[in-house]
Amino acid sequence: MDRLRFDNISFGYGDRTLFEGLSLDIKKARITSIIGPNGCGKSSLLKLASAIHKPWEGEISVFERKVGELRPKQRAQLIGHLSQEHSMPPMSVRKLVECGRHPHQGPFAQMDTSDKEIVEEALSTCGLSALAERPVPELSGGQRQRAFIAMIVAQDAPVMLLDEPTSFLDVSACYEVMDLMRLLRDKHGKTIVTVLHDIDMALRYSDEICVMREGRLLAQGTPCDHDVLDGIEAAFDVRIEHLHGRLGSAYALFSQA
Amino acid sequence: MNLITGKKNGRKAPSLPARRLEGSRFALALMAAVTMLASVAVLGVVVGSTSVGLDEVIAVALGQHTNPTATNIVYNVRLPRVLAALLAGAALAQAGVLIQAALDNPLASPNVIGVNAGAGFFVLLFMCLFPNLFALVPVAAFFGALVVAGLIFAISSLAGSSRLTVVLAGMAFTAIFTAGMNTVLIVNPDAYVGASGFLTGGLSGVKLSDVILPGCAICATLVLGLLQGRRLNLLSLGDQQAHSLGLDIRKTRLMALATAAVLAGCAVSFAGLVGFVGLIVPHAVRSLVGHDNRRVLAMAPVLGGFLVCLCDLLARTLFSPYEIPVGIVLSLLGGPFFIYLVLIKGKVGLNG
Repeated sequence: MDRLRFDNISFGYGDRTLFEGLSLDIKKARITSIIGPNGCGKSSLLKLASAIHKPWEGEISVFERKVGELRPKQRAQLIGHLSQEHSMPPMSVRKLVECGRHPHQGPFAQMDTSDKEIVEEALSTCGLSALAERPVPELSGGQRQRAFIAMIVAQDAPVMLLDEPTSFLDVSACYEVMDLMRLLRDKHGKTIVTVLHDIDMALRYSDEICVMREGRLLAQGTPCDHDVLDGIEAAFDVRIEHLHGRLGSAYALFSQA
Repeated sequence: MNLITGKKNGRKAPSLPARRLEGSRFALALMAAVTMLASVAVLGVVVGSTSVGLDEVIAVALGQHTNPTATNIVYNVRLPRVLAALLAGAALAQAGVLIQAALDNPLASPNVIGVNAGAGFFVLLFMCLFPNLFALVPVAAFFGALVVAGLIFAISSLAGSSRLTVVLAGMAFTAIFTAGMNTVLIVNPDAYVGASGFLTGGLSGVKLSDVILPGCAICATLVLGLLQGRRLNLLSLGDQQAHSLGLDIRKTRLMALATAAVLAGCAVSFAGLVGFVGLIVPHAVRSLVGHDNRRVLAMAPVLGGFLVCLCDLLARTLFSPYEIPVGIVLSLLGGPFFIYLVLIKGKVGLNG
């Protein structure tokens, strides 16, 4: 069963069409990375999945249920989405992570013990226990990113959409986030969809790669799939090489010229 | 349980007592504010420009037989006035918090989104058309405030209720209704006679019967406002992130604005155009208790009521036997205090 399915989606902004008849299946308990040049519709795809935008035509379904027909909280119980455009809320890290429990709470309910435990767990998972009482605006870029990821972890939805979760992070913090994604996949069976700019990182950490260009899906498959590597070369106009070294393997991208 | 290590000891023990301390500090602050409110309210009943002393007020309060003048003054002059001040202050302060949070705009307040100008215009128009019906001025004011709120909802629904749209629409309505007010005053200067007390914002001559109905509405709506804190906190994450957390952005925003409009409309109906409270009290409260809207929404009505009650007391006694409208005292006291907050504490604004 596919967790998240885009079926024959058409969508665009204003008069500009972005997707025309796009279909895409996201497999469960996998890390799927969507990669492609700027403006190819990666983030838009995630926004369609969490109903920030409505498709012109076509259906998006999660667990065989149509996203457009779910009530907001039902949807948020199934799909977590770390948006790229979040603000700097004037609250402590813990309060921010508590916001992730919103879909599980009634209209006037308070945090109960299990909510609090989940929040603590999310804080320690993301290495934020020591920073829990710090105001979000005082954090560094990387800490803030981790705080927002912790909020999505506390949301505890089976499908997590992470729009550039490694932006603002230095290289070791990037690896931490990617390791965290693996952990969520392995221990909790989460289905994770990310938009990544670092192609090497995407290829090394993902189970599945979707290569997009100008609203079209060029290739989908495992990172070692030849179609995927060809797709990347076509999408970015680059040459790609899989290098093997003493510490493992990595992908290097070279300019076409 | 720690997700990475799988151990049960992943929880940081010291953080919980720290939070409880913070919670009790807020409870203490709230209690202090309620005490201040109660004392200034009692003072408001006891002190006045006429010669009814403390002993007589106590006698009236205890139901002992006293001279009818004292009873009359306490029940018909001072008590309604103190009640009106408390209710108007509480309502406008919470309305300000709701509007600022809903629009994510620290400059917003009931008068900025046009509620006051709308009420003022309707009062003048009403006085122009029915010069003899002084008694219905509050109704006209409430109606005017709601009409503006309705117009703003209509516009924001059409334009997708972005926060900037609502502020801009409110500013446009303020301009339109202020122009309307001036036009009425030029064409029919007599209208000013009936509306002057209302326009400057004063509590003199408020009757118990004027306050009871809007007062009940204000109390009920304050509770409704209190319940919106958590959802308004989510709005500060940004629209898209709040939406993905399952918040109905539009509903939340419209609900907060509707609550604020009812509060401001009720307050305006008996207190006139007292606008400044809705701007300064929310900021002062945030510098005291932080940005958690659940707390701000609880604290703002208390401090708002306190402030208006105090200012009204000063308005009555400062230049006794003359009386200045409470709106003027509010601006004279509140203005410098607001500047102090901006300059010294630097805590005003959403980034504080």
